[in-house]
Amino acid sequence: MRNYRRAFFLALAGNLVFLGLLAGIWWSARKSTAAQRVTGSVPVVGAQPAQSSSSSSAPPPPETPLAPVQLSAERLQSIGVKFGVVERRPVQDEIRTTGTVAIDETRLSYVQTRFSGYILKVFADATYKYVHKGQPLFTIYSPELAAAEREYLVAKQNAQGLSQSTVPGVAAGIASLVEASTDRLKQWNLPQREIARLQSSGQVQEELEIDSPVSGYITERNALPNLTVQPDTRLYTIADLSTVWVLAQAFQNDLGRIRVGESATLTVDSYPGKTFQGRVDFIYPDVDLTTRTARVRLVFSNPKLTLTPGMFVNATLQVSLGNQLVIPVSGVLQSGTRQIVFVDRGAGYLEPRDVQLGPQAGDQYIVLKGLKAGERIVTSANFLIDSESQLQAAIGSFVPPPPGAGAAAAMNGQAAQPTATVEFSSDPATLRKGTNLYRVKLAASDGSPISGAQVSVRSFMPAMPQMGMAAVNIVTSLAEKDAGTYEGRVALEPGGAWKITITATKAGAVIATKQLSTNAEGGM
Amino acid sequence: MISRVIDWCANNRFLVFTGTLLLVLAGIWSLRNIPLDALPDISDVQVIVHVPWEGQPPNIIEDQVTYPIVTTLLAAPHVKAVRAQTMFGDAYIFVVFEDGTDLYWARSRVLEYIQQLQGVLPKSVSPMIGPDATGAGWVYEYAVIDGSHQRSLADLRSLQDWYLRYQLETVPGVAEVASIGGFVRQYQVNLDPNKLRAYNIPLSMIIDRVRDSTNEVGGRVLEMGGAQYMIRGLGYLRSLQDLESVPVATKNGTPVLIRDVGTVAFGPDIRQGVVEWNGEGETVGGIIVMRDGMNALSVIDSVKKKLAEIKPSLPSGVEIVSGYDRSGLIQASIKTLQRDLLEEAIIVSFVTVAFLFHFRSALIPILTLPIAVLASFIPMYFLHVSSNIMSLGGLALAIGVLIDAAIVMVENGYRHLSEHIAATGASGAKLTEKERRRILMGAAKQVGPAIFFSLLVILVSFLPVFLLEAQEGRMFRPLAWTKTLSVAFSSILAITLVPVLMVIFIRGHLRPESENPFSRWTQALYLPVLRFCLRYRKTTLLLNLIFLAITIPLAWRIGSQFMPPLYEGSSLYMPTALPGISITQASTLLQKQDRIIKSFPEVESVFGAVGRSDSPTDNAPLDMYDTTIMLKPREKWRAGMTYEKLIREMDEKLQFPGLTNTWTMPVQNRLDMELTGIKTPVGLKIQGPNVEGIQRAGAQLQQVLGGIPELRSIFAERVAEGFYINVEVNRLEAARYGLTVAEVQRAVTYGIGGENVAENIEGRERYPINVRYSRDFRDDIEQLKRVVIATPTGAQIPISEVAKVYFSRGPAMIRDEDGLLTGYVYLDLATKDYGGFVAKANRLLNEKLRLPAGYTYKWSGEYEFEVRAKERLKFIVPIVFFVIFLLLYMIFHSVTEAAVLIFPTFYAMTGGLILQYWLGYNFSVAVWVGYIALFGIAVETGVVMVVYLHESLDKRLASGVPLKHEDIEAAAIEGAVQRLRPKLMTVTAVLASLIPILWETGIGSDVMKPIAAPIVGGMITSTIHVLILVPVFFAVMKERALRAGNLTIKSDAE
Repeated sequence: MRNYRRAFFLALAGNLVFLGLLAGIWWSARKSTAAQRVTGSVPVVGAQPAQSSSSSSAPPPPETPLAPVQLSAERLQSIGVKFGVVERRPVQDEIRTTGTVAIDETRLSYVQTRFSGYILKVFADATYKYVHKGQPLFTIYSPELAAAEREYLVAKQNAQGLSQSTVPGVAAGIASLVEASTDRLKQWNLPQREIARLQSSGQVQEELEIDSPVSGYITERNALPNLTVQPDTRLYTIADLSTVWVLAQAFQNDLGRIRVGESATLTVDSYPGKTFQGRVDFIYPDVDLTTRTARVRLVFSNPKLTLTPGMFVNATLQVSLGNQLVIPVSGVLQSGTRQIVFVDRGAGYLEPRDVQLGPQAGDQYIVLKGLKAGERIVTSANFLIDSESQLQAAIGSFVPPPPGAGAAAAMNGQAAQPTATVEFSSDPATLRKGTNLYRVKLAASDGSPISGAQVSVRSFMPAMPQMGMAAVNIVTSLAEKDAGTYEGRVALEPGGAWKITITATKAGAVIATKQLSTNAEGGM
Repeated sequence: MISRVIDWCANNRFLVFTGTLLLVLAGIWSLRNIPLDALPDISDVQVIVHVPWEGQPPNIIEDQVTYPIVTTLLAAPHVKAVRAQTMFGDAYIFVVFEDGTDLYWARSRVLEYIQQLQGVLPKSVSPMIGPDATGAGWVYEYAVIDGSHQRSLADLRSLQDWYLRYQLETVPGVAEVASIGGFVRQYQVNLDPNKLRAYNIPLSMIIDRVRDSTNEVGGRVLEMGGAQYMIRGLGYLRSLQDLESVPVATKNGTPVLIRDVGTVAFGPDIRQGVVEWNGEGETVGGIIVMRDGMNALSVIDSVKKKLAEIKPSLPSGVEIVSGYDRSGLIQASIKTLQRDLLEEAIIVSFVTVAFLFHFRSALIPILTLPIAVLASFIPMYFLHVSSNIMSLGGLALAIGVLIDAAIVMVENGYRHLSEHIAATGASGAKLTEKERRRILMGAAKQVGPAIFFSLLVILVSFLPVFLLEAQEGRMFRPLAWTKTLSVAFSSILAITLVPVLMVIFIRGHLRPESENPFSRWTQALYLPVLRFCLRYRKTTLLLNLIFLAITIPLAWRIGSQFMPPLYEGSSLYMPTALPGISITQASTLLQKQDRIIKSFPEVESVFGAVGRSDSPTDNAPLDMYDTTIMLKPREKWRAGMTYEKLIREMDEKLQFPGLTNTWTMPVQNRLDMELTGIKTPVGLKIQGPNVEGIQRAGAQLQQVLGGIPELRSIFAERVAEGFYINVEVNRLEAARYGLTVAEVQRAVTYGIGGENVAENIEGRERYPINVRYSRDFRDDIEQLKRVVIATPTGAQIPISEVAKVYFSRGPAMIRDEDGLLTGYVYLDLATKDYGGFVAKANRLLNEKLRLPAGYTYKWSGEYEFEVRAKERLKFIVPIVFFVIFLLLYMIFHSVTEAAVLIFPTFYAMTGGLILQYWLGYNFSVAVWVGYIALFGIAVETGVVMVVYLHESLDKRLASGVPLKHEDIEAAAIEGAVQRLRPKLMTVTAVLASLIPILWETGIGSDVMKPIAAPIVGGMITSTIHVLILVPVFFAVMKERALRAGNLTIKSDAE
C-alpha cells in the first residue's frame, strides 16, 4: 500500500512538474498584464479645448523628416521622373478678367457745319454705315455760305480790277478784302477743294458736298434731306474703330499689380482661337461700389474692325514681375506648411530642400529662398520621391555622399567611392521568418579578403499602416569568422519584404556598402 | 452496457444493415448538398454601414456623419464594437456583433438605429447597409475589355453598371456586383465664372434651373370615345443639346442659355478606383460578392454560366475576361484533399491487410471507414459547416483514428478465433457457427469498452479546439466538427456494425498471428529491446528524461504566426504608397507594374486595381494597390521555379520609389483585411477629441518610449498625412459684403467641387448632372482664390477677399473606435515578454508623459488575442487533462495508471517538436490543433497498451499460482510483445494515413501539413514511449504492488 502510494505520488509529481512547466511557458510569455487599459489623462494647464473644429487653430503636428534619396536611373525612369531647371528670367504673370469693347474716345468725331443751311442730298444715310475718310456724306445748301462765296467772288473780281490801281491803299484794301473773305470761307471749314473750285470756276456752288473727316462707323446720324442745319446741329457721329478700347473689370486686390504700358491679350468667343494684342492704357481711378471692381482701359488696334464696341471679351493682362528666379509649379510639393523641392545632385541623388516661394506666375513659382539658378529639380512624380524620402528617413539608411558635395569631393569623386566588394549570402539561402544567418564576404578590388573590418547589417521593413504593421529595424554587427568572412544571426519577424543595408567600415572609414531588397518566407 | 449493445446488434443484423444503409444514403445526399469553399469564412458577425458623400474630405464626413452614426449604433443590443474608417468621399462603419448573433437580426437592428438619425445627418447623405456578405465573399472578378478599342471607358463602365451588374446580380447567391475603374459618365456643366459675372447670374440660379430641367410627370387620364388616354409631361434630357439649351435667365427678352455661360459635355465623375488589364491599358472591372454562407463553387459556376449567356448580347469587340476566379482554388484544394482521403484510405487498407494477413477480416475496417466518413457529413449539413480545406482536413486527420477501433476489434476477434482453433486442434472445420460467434462476441466485448473509451478520449481531448474564439475559432471549428463527428460515428460503428461484420467476415482459414511474417519480424526486433529496457529500468527512465529535457527547448527556437499561408494558385501584389497619392499618379504606375508582372512566363493574367470599388465590403484606401495575379498551373512554370522564387523575382523587378511592396494571396488578404486593428503583437491606441492632438500624442509617446532597449522600433501612425487646401472664411470680411459663411461655402461646394444637382433618366440608365466651374478656373490654387461669389448687393467678388486659401496637412483617413477618434502606435519588440514590456513602458509613461485632457491611450495588438487564447488554453488544457484522467480512471480504476498514461502526451510533443523544427513550420494555431489531436491519439495507444498488459497479467493471476517478480516481467513482455500487432496496426494506420498529406504538394496542402506534422512526429516518439516506457512503468508499479501484496485481478472495465 505504501509502495503503491509512493508510485502514485511519483507519477502525480511528474505530471505536476510538466503541467507546471507548460504553465510556466505560457506565463513567461505574457506575465501579469493582459490588455492593460491605462488612462494617461493628466490635465495640463492651457490644454486645447476638446473640439475638432479647433483643429485649424491648433499648432501643426510635427512633420515627417525627409532624407536624401538615391535612385538608379532605372528606378527614376520607372516612375517617370522629369527634371526642370531653376532659371533666372523675366517673369510675366497674368490677370484674367473680362471686359467690354468700347470706342476709343480719342478717335470719335462729329460731323457739323459751321454755317447754317439746308441739307439737300444725304449719301451716308444710315447709322452704322462705314465711311471712309473723304467720302461724301451729304450735300448742303447754305444761303450764308452762298453769300459768303459770292462776296468772295465779288471781292476777287474787284481785286482783279483794282489791283492795278495806283490809288494808294486801294490795292492793299481790296487784297485784304479778298483775304478776309477767303478766311471766312476757311473758317467755315469749307474744304480746300471747294475753295479751289470756287477760285477756278468763279461760280457759286449752291450745293456743297460735305466729306467725312475720318474713316469709321457712323454711330449717330441726324442728317436728313431738307433738314435745317444750324452750326450747333450735330449731323453725324463717326467712330474710328481702327483702335479700340477695352474696359476690363479688375478686382481691387489686383489693382496694385497692374501697370500702365504692360501688354494685354484678348480673346473673343466670336473668333475662337484668335487673340489680339494690346496694352494697358489707363487705370480708372475709381472702384464701382456695386460691382466692387475697377476699370482698366486697354488699347487694341483693330485694323480689320473685328472688335466692335459692346463686345464681351476675355482679357488677360500681363504683369511683369521683373527678372526672377523661377521653377515650374510642378516642381514643388506643397506639404502643408512646407514647400519642398527635390534637387538633383547627379547620379540619381535627390536632395529634398525646403524653399520659400513667392507668388505663382502662370505655371511658374518665383523662388525667394532655397535654390540657385542652374540647379536641376524634379518636376514630376514628386509625391513618390517624397514618399521614398520619408521611407528612407525612417530607415535612416546609409546613403552614399552625393557626388559633387563640396568642391574637394567633386575633384576626386572617384576616390570617394567604396573600394571593397561585398558579397552577401545567408543560411538558409532564402531568408525566412525566424532566425537566419547572415554571411558577408569582403574583398578588395584585387579579390583578396579584407579582414579586421566592422561590418554591420541593417535589416529594415518599412511600416505599412494600411496593413497594421510597424516598421522593423534590426541592426546586427557581424563577427569575423574567417579572413574576410563575417557572420551573425538575425531574427527576422515578420516575413515579407526586407531591405538590407550592409555597411563595412575600417579604421573609421566606410569601405563598402551594399543595399538589397529581399523577401523573407513564412508570411506575416 | 457496451457489451449489451454489441450483443443486441449481433442479434439484429438486419436492423443494423438497414440503419447503415440509411446512414450511407443520407451521407451521400448531404455530401452533395454541402456548400463548398476553400477556407471557412472567419469574419465576425458584422454589419457594414457605408456612407458615401462624394467629394468630401474625411474630417468633414467624420464630424457630420460618422460620429453620429457610431455613437448611435453603440447603444444597439449585442454590439461588441463599432469601428469606423472615414476616407475621402466615403465612410465605412463596421458594427461587430457578439458571436452567434443572427446576421439578419443584426442587420435589422442596425437599420432600426440608423432610423433614429433621420434629420441629424446632412441632407445629401444617406447611409446604406452593406450586403449580407464580407470581403471573404469576393469569389470572382472580371474585367470588361474592348478588343476593338472603339469604346470609351465611360461606355464600358455604363455597360458594367447598367447591364452586366444587374444580369449577374440575378444569379442566386450573389449578394452584390461591385464596379470598379473606368469613368462614371456624368453630364458636366462647366461654367465660366466671368460670363456669369458679366450676365450677373448667380451660380445658385444655374443650379436651380438645371435641377428643374429634367423630369417627366404624369397628368392622370383623359377619356375620349370610350378610350382612356394617359397623359404625361415629357421632359427628360435627350442629349447634350437639350442641356445646353436650358435657359437660365432672360436679359431684355433674350434668353440666356447654359451654353451662353459655359459648356456642356460628358465627363468622368470623381474616380475612386482604377482597373488595368495585363498592362494593356485601363479598363473596367466587376467584383462578384457572394452572400454569406453560400456555396462558393456553385455561385461561381452560375456566374460563369450567366456570363456565357450574356456573351452574345455584348457589343461587338467587348469581352469579359476573368481576373480572379476562386473556383480553381476551391476545386484544386477539394481535389487535393479528396485525393489525400482516397490515398489514406488505400494506405490504411494496405496496412490492415498487411498486418492481419487475412483479406476478409481486413475488409471490415475498410468498409466501416467510408461509412463513418459519409455519416459525418450528415450533421455537417445541418450545422451549416461548409466543405472546405479545414473540414475535409479534419476527416483526413481522423482517418487513421477512424480505422483504429475496427482494427483492434477485428484483430482481437481474429486472434481469439485463431487461438481457439489452434487450441482445439489443427482443423477449424470442427468449430460450430454458434461457437465461432460466441468467441467473436466475447472478443468484441473484451476490447469494446476500452476502444469506446479510448475513442472517447480522442474525442474529448480534441474539444478545446471548439473553445477557440473569434477568428481562430471560426477557422478551426469546421475541422474540429468533422474530426469529432467522424470519430464519434466510427466509435458507434465499432460497437454496432463491426461486431456484425466480424461474424460475417472472420471465417475461413485463419492463420495464427505467429505465422504472420510481419508480426514475427517486428516482434523479433522489439523483444530484445524491451528485455534490455526492463532490465535497466533506471537508465531507460533517465535517458527518456534527458531526451525530454533536450527537445523541449526546441519550442523556443520556432517562430509563431496566426495561420500558415495557403498557396492559392494566385497572388496579390499590394504595394502601398503613402497617403495622398493622386489617382493619376497611381494609375500610371499601375500599368507599368502590370506590364512587368505580365512579362513573367508563369503569369496567366494580371488584373490590376488601385483604390476601391463601389462595394461597401471594399474599404481600401486610394493609396493601396490590389493587383490580382493569376498564375499558370505549376506544370507550365520554368524549370526549378517555386512560388517563393517567383515572388522574389517579381519583387526585385517591381521596386518603385515611394512604394512599399506587399505580397499576399487573395483569400488570405481578404481574411486579413477582416481582422481590423493593430497587427503587430503590441501596439498602442491613442484616443482623443482631435486628430492633430492624437498625432502629437503619438509623437510624444514615440519620444518617451524610444529609449527602452527592448524596443526595436516604434512607429506612430501619422494620422494627419493627407494634403488639404483650406478655404477659411474670414467672417468679418464676409460680413462686409453681407455674405454668410454658408454662401461662401456654397461657392466651394458648387463652384470648385461641383455637385451632382440632378439625375437624368435615360431608359435603364441614369447619369448625374454636375455643375461646376470650368477646369481653367479651378485647377490651381491661384485660380481657386479667384472663384467668384455673388454678394447680396449684386457685386461678384473673388473668394480670396473673404476667405484665406492655403495648404495644410490633415487626416487622409480617420479611425473612429466606439465614438472616439483613434490613432495607432505600432511597436516592434526584441523581446517575447510582452507583459513585462508593457509594465515597464507603463511606468515610464506615467512618469514622463503628460497628455492633454481628453486624450487616453491603451495597449492593444495581436498579443491581446494571443494572450486571450493562451489564457483560454491555460484554463482548458488542465480541464482536458483532468477529463482524460477521469476517463482513464474509469477504464482502469486506478489513479496511478491513469497518471502514467498522461505521460505519453509529453513524449508525443517532443517528436512533434522535432519534426516541426526539421520541416521549418512555425507555431501557429494550426500546429497547436495538430498537437491537441496528437495528445488524444497518444493517450489512446497508451490505453491499448495497458489493456493488453493487464490482460496478460490477469491471465497469470487467474491461474492462481502466486506470482514472482519474474512473472510480472514476463507478463509485461508477453503483453507488450505478443500484443504488438494491434498496437503497431493502430499506430501505423495513423502514421501511414498522414503520410500522403506530408507528401502532398497540391493546393491546400500548405495548411494541412503543419497540422499533420506534429501528429506524425509525435506518433513516432509516443509509440516508442508506449512500447518501451509503459511496460517499464507497468512492471515497476506491479512489482511494488506485489511487494505490498495487493496485486489483484483487474476487473474488466464495466
